[in-house]
Amino acid sequence: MAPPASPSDEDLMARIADGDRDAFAQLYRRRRPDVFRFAVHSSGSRTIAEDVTQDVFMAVIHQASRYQATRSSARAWLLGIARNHVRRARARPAESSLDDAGVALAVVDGDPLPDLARRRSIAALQRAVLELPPRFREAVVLCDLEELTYEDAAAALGCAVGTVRSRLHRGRALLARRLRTDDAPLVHTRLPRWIV
Amino acid sequence: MKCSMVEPWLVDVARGVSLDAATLERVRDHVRQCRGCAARLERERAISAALHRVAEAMEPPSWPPSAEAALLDAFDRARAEPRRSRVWTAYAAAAAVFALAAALAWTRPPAAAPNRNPAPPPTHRGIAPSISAANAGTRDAPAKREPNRAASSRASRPPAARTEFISWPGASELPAFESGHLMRVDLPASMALSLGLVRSADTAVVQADVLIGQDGFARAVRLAP
Repeated sequence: MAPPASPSDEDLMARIADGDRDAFAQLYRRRRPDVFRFAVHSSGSRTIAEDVTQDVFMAVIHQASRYQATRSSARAWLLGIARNHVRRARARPAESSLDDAGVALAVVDGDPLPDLARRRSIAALQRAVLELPPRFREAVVLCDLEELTYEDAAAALGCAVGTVRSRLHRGRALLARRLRTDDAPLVHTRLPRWIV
Repeated sequence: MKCSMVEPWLVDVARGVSLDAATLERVRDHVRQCRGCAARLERERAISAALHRVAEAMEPPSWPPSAEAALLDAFDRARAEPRRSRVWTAYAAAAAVFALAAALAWTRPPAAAPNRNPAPPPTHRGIAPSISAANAGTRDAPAKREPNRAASSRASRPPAARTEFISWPGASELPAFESGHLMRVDLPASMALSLGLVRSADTAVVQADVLIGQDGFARAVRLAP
């Protein structure tokens, strides 16, 4: 007998709205890393990210009935809430310093990557992402780091798909420019000339 | 094909977004012939690869059990709270209904009302299918009816009384009705007349059921059956 299929996020959201405690716990364990990762990449602060993660799931407790599966995936909805909390947290003077980037980089430093050059390039890119203007940073984080579809990213950001695309393109162009000026190579691997 | 026509798709190609075959072929053809766009595509690929490594490098923290426990506690508390808030909403709605009734009674003298003989207003759209649900959800309705039996002896039951629900004035502009409660009230006769519940009244008050929506606003009213 085949094991029962894991319920989708959307099913869990519906059950949470009906007061299902187990569904909430399940969604929390499943999506907590996504929310945390998004918050770290968006804020540059591990402390903010931990707070935001809790805040997002507090919001789920009180607002699960507002979620509409026809409009976006549950993951996009969660990241949209996280985005608002990150913005608020970064707006607070004590937590908006760029020094927070160091906290996020400490997360990278804790990862046992063998290659120092590779770690440096990752750290440089992470810093460059954090220094992007918020609207471009959000698009890059959602689409490239969280790998949301354009449609889900648009739902999370509350804007049109075309807007997401243009912000993403602009954000990536800024990243490339910044990394060139920082003399931090993006990658050291040789890419094929005819890629497509 | 010009570079400007290919450019919007280069990032998608680099990111691995699925494109339709014709578009992909056009981009391929152009990139084979254009060194600038080929370099741009290579750069976009490099950015995607680097961002992918950034995403992989991020390890989530080890979550303390207290974080989940705190949220589950909050979940339990939130599930307990709505019952209390519904009671307060019902009280607030009752106060609002009585305040409105008093205001209407003050501004409309009862003597003038019978001459108006208003046509029965249309039934509130969207209310009718929900009324049975609202009745079903009113667990304390029977308890409230008992004390009002005494009041019903002094309240008139005029002929041509409306015992079906009719829309509360202005209710059509409120958010959609989702759920609600019935509340039995003593309406001033003048208000019952102006609402079209009765065509004439020879007593001061008329007993009615007011349907209160999920937001605490009155949606519909009927004469108490």
